[in-house]
This record gives sequence, C-alpha cells and structure tokens, in this order.
Amino acid sequence: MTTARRISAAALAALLCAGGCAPASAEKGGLVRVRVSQAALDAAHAPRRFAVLVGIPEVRDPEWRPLRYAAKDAEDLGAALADPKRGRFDQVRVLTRPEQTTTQAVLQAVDALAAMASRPDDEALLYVSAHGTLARDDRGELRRYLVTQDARLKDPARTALSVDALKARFDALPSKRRVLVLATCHSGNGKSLLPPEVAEELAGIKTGFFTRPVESVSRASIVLSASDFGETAREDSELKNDIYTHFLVEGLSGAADRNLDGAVVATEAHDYARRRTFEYTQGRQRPSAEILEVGADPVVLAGALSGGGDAELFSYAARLEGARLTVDGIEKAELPGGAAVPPGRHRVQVEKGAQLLIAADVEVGRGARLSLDSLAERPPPSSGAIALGGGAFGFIDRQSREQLLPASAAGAVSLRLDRVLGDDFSLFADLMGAGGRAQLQLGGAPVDFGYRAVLGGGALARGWHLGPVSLFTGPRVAALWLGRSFNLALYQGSQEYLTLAPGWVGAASWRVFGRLELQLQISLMATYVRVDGAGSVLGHAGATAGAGWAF
Amino acid sequence: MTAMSAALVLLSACGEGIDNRPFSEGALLGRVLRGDKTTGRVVVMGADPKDTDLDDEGRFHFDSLKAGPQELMVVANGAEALRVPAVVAGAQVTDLEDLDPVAAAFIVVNAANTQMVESCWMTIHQTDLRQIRDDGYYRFVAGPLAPGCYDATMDNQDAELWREHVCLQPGERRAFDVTW
Repeated sequence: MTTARRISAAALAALLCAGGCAPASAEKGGLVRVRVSQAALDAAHAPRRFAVLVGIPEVRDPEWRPLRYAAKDAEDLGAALADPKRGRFDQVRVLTRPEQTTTQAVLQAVDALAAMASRPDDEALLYVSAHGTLARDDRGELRRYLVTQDARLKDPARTALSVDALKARFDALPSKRRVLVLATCHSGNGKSLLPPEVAEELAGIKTGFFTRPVESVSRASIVLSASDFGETAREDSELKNDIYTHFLVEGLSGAADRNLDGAVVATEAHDYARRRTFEYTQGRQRPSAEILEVGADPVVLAGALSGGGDAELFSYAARLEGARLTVDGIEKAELPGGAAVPPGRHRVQVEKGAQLLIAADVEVGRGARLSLDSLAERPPPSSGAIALGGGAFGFIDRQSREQLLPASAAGAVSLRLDRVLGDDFSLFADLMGAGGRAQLQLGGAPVDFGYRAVLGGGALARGWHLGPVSLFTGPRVAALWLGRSFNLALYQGSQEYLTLAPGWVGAASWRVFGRLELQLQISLMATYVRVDGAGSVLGHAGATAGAGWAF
Repeated sequence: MTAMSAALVLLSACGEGIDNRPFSEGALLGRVLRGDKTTGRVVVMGADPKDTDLDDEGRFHFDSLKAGPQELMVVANGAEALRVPAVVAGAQVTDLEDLDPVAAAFIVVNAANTQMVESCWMTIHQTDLRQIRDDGYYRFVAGPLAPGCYDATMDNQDAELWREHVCLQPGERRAFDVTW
C-alpha cells in the first residue's frame, strides 16, 4: 500500500514537473517518461517528524499560580527536537503565547499536527507543560484537565482542556507513530491546583485517585506522564525546568540511548527521564508511561536508527510495576522500564517481591524490542506438575480381557519433573489403581470374581513446548500387579501376579491458566504374563486424563 | 521378539501366574419330573457323551463337566424325554432345577436284508445310543429319544451302510426300511 502510494505520488510529481518544465509539444495528452532516482524517491517519501510543544506558564485567572518554567520547558525540548544533531525533527512548533495556549488554540494546534503528520509512518509528538487539575464533568465523573490560558479555577470542566478530549484528538492522528508527553500533574501539589470542593474530596482518600489514569484509555499511542497518577510534578529552580522535562531533554542528547543503536526512542527517553527524575526527587516523583506501540517501529525522538545495537526488553504494564527485571542472573532494571541486552539467547526473569512472575528463555536479535508483557502471557515454565485424574487400562487383545482381567476404569496420580536432563526431557511417574468385581468369560461361561490392579510406571520423555501446550513422548517401564479373588462353590482363593512391562508413553499437558494444568497420557506396554503355567507376551495399554498443579 | 521375550522373562515372573484351570469344569444338577430310576437317565450330548442315572426322586448330578454351553438329552422314563441346553459355569454348580419331559420319540429301522443283520448296529450320534442291535424281528429301535434332530447311522465292521438326519416330533415313531 505504502509502496504503491509512493510510486503513484512520485509519478504524479514527475508528470507535474515534466508538464511545467518540458518544452511545448505539438502533441497533446499521453505520458511523458522522466527519470527519477531511487534516492530522490526515498528522500521525497521518508517519514516526516513533527512536534507541537505547548508551555502554559501563566493564565488569565489569577487563582492559578504561575509556573516559572512551563514556557522554558517547551522551548528547551523544542530546541532539542529541532537540533540537527539531536532530534532532527522536520518541524517543531512551540506554543507559549497567551493566544496560542487557549483551549481552542491547543486543539487547533493538534488538528494542524494531524494535517501535517498525515502519513502512518510520520512521527508526531505533542508536549504539554502546564498546570493540571481534576474536576467533575457534566455526568459527575472526576476527569483530568489541563489548565489552558482561558481556564477558570471555579469551572475547569467548562473552561479547561479536557485530557480526554485532547487524547481523542491525538488518537485520531493519521500517524501511527505518535507520542503525547504530559508534563503536568493532577494531585493538587506542584504543577497542580484543584478546585476547593475537589481538593476537599480527595483529601479523604488515602490511596490516591480513583479515576482511571488517562493513559489507560490510550490506543496506538505512547503517553508519557511526568508524574504518576496522584503524584506531584515539580519545577526545580536549580534545573530551571520541570524536572522530568529537564531529564527528557538531557536524554535526547544521547544519554538515553541504552541499546546503543544510535537513536533515542520514546521509551528510552522516558525511562531515562523517569529514572533520573526518581533519583533527583528522591522518590517523590515517579513518572509513568502507558505505551501501546503500533507495528514494529519505535518512535525516534533523537538520532537515527543504525539498524544495530543491543536488543531491548521492556514493560510498562501496570501489573509489572515495581517488579525487578533480571537477565542471565543479573538484575537489570526495575519496571516499568527496560534494559538493553546483547543479541542472543537470554534467561529472563521478572520478580515482584518473592514472586516469580516471568521466567523465560528468549532469543533476541540485534536491535530487537521485546515486550515483557508478551512473555507474561506465557505461563511461567514449570519444574513439573502433579495431577489427579482417571482413565482406564487393560490388555489390548480381547481374549486376555475376557480371560485374565477386563479393561478397568482406574484412578490415577501422576508426577512430572521437567528439565531433568537438559531443558527438553521430563521424568514421569504415575500410579493407577483399579478394583471391583467383574466376570471372566471362560468357554462361554461367566465366572464372577473380584479384582485389584495396580499399574505403576516411570518414563523419561522428550518434551516439546508450544506455548501453553506441551507434548511428550519417550520410553517407559511399568510394574503391573494383578490380584484376583474367587469365592465360588468349587473354588475359593486368590491369585496374585506381578510383572514388569516396558513400553512407550505419549503425553500432553495444557496450562489452562495460572498453575492449573490438564494432562492426557497414553501408554503402550508389553507384559509378560504366565497363564495356566505357560508364559506369553501380551500388549497392555493405559490412558489417563487429569487435572494438575504445576510447580 | 525372541530376545524381547527372554528379557521380559528375566525381568518379570514374580508370582505363580494366572491360573484359569480351576474354571475349566463345573458341576451340573437338576431334577426330572416323573423320572424313573430304572429307565431314566441324562446324557450330555457331544462327541464324547457322558451320562448319569436318576435317583429315586428323579434327581441327577454331574460332578465335572467341561465349562461352557452344553446340551442334555433327558430321558425321564420309557415314554418321556427332553432335550435342554445348559451352560456349565467353571468352578460352580449349575442347577437346572425341575425339568418337565414330553412324549418321547423313536427311530425304527426295518432291515429288508436279513442275512447280514447280526453283524450290523445302529448309532444315534451325539448321544450314547450305540450298538443298537436287532430286536429279533430284523428291526432296530432307538429310543426313547427326546424330540429334536439326530444323525442316525447303520454300520457294520467295514463301512457305514446307512445314514439319515432325522428330526423327531414329540411322540413320533419314525420308521425306515433299509436295504443294504
């Protein structure tokens, strides 16, 4: 699609050029062949990069206290993005003047950004450094608002810029590589001021705000926030910037390029700014991010991708927040965030407290980006499983079932130990038991009897793990004990027999969710049985299904 | 396969094995209504038929019969008989309880050639009725028989002289004139 559009646009451009430049011809109509180099075509259709940066230091309503560095934040970041040695953005608009920072003007700027970044592979960045606040909307729900030039403290819902509205505009951008950076907060502290009634309401809440973070409704976007929900974004007189913005700009100089691929992508920049902000504020400000990347292309904020560099492991999922990322036994990062690892195979673990959330062996290539969330969807590899179930076992041939022991329903318990011999081999142990009353069919006449049968076996099986499903097969040896008891008019007594049975086993397990595992096992064995004093080798089969607990 | 069997033998063979021989035979008993101790008897039909007599009350008893389905020809007295199927259960006693006979049937062979009668005999196969001799009137009479089908033959020392598959109705007396 993109290629076709490029070619048709190039052809149109070439035709226009030809029409304007070529000498008049006697013939009208028809196509004119022109030569356009591939380099020229690529340059004409290279992804473009646009940024709109909004800084709102002061607003009309004097109830909002001024921000010292909001305009400077936008200008500093804009300078970094426009810098040919750093951001290399094609167009950077910095909006700080009063008429540029009204609610309507900001939304118009977003619309203009949408008009410019009109191709899916264009990059669009929208940055806002301003006061944030919370207010109830017409339906009584607590919403987040950006304090624009015309916002009034007494009526933010009607006069300030709804973050939801901004998000809706932002999500409508044709670009699929877009970043929204909100250097604001909504906690009532720092760069935030709340209407009195909202502040009073929130004061009674100990655990933070109960509205959904704006980031959670983001789609196809990267939303970076200078503070976590309910935390304070701060300006700093030493840094002369919003703290987060300061370190974001610093990261664009290359310091944030953790995988050394020549480019600082949005997640790298945020992780750098986040970590530095956290350190600088001694944990009082913890920037957050919600990221949903579209496609494989990261959003480059500075530099250019070299195609090389280390691979990146990252996660911004809320459920992994506070977890530690360990790669090959070395702690690499605290989530949310990421870490760069050399290309190759790595043992990745994510732990939260004493709980192992993710453990996986991954193969990453040069410059690859692997979301830890995708690993979290895989069930953690188990060391084994123990299961209870039921099934049946019996001799394969009909005559033996009629004359020795009928096929019997059985209860079963099984144990599987994974990775006993390398990563691929599992050790199986199982025990099946059956008992009851049945009839032998001897010469067409029934003989009532009671029976007990125990089949205990072990196997060393090769495993193939396909997501939540694992398949196993391997040799097996089992012991089969048969006991028959008769209480007949002409014969009372019991018979017992124990035999070894080598064979083969096939098994499948399915991790349904969590540690619940469903298992299926089928075994075929050869048993040596002495019947009426004569020995013979008989086929014996068993099948069980059960539910187990993976450990 | 041989090596595998040998390995299995070495690996296993704990216990005496499975023994089904105790269940190869069973006992069978019953009582024949109007049974006569003198003339009544019960024959287990087959290639190697077994028979037993009736006691004063018409009871009969086989201690050991091959387990499985059997057919009995029950002769209650000189005029009544019955064929009845039975399943002998291994190592068990199967009681047929009361058996009610019906009118017996007979097969009669009249010998047209009297010269060789003394060296001939008639056999009703699957029963113990053999060596049935001339009754002095150049006539062979087999019975009382229970209604049903039988293979009857006339033999001498050298050959089978006559054979007939005969199905008899209760009380029927089927006669054949035979020349050999």
